[in-house]
Amino acid sequence: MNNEMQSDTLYNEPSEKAEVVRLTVDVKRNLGKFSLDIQFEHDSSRGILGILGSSGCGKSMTLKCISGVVRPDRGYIALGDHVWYSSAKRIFVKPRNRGVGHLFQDYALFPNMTVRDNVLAGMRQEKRENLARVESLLQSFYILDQADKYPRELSGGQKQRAALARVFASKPSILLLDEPFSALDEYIRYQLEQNLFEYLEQYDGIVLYVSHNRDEIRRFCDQVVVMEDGHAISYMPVVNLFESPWHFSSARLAGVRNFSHAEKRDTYEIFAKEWNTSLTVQYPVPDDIRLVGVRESSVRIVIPDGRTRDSQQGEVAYNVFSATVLRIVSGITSDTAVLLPYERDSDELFGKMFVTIDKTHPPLLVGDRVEIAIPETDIMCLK
Amino acid sequence: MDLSPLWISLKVSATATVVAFITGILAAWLVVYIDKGKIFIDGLFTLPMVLPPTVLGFILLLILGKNGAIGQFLDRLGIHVVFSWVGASIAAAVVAFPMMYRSVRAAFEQLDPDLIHVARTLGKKEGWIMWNIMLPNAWPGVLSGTILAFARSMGEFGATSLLAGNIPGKTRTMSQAVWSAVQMNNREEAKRWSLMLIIISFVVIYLTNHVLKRESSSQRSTWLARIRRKKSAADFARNEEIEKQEHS
Repeated sequence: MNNEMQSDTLYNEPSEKAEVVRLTVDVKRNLGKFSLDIQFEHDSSRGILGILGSSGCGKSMTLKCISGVVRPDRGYIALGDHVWYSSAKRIFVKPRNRGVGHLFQDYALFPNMTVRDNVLAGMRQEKRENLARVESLLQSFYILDQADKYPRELSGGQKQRAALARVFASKPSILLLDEPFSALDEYIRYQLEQNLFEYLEQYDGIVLYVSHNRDEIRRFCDQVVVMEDGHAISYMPVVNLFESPWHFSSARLAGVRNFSHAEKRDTYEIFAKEWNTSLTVQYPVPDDIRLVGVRESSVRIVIPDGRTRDSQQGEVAYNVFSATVLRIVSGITSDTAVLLPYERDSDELFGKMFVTIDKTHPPLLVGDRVEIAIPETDIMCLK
Repeated sequence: MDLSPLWISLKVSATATVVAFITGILAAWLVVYIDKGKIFIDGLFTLPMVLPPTVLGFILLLILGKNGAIGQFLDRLGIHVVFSWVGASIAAAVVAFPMMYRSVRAAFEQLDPDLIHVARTLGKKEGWIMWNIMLPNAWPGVLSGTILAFARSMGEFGATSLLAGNIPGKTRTMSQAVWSAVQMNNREEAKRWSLMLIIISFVVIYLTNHVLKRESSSQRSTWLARIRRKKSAADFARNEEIEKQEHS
């Protein structure tokens, strides 16, 4: 955490490569509507940590508590041996002494300073020898051309790069990225994501990446904390979030849309209430199962028109049951069919079945009775 | 015609504005930062705006007069507040202070808090943040506060009269000149000084609005920005020069 150290690299100290640092966070803070009460641990060997949650769930506040610009009510925050906050020991390290690189949602560039002065302001000591480093930072973030412009004269992407250059100028001990792409137009994101990814790869410290966008989390992060109403409901590798989220909220955030309440029938069998069918699953059913979830892309529609129904394909067994077509929603590359397996107790969240069908699919009409097939492996038992 | 009220008014208002400018900014800074007692301190700082000037003048007389503790201390230093232009300036500054304080505080509170947050995470001290982030970005509020403070000091009558009196050529300001002229039934002179006050006040407010409007309507470079950019570019050229010399 020696951020005062001078070095020739842009990002961190070069010599001692990647010594594992642990971040411990336990914060409680009253936010009015609900209270933030989150605990997690992460270390630099486990890659980038994503914090996924819907808007207003306390993600940004968590980052602000870590960087110290907001003081929690109670808790403990430490990076390695440095305790930054401990309500028990009455410790509160001021943000300026924490050396956190915090990239704010709308970048918070100083409007009264040029890009160059903004980056220079990121230097711990504004000495003349730093100017060379400012130049090389501006260059590596592709904003040397804009160096004498003011933030209001920049595009969204240029602002982001300027803010990143400023953050890296401060040689952060840990990097907090708060929705780095939310202020940008969709079409320029792709290129910028690639750039950001390259910068992050060269940085060995801990990186926390906050977003409400699951695809961003999937692309950038290795581990993920899922947040809901101020609580962390799970901490797991990103792959697991998309394969076996085990929690209803995580599954929703991971993009699963088909849910039904469920109860355990047998070791490998559950009964889905709103779908009014029993389903077999690949792994033993947990005892505390509450819901079942299935991805849109896992469901096949089988039209009962005499074409072969491949319900037994290789080793994978399918659950097959029937449903009525409610409506077809057109998309750009594929359509979504909304099906109703069983009329009673169904609503938008539970019971209705969303199925992705490609454009070349034989036409479905509203009111058609179809059979649907779900592979055993794709059924998620959720709490 | 004796023009001394004009010069005295300008001297008193300018002094009062400088005092209110500095104290108002510091007070706004303090109130923005504190959590506890914010409402109480804000009330205290705003009080001079709502109290009758005579009450203010009387309180100042008690504190700064010959029998007041501070007054005796100043007297020993050779500073005579009562019946002097210094006293008039102090009275005007007290009355003008809330104008400055409230404008600057509102401008500080409208700043994006993340600007201050990010500066702190970048290791900046509070003084640096005040000087380099808060003041430059809140300058329209600072400017209008200054103008209001100046206009208010120009119009000050009650507190000044109680503390500094109405001595022709010494403490008689324009607003007092109007009062005295009316007392003497000299309508013509009262009209002249009134007109003078109206013109000065209007010009000042017109200029402020002009500058503020131009600032907000032009999204491109402003005069302030242009100066800064020149400075920044010049700095850079100079630094490059130094670097070249070092390398050779």
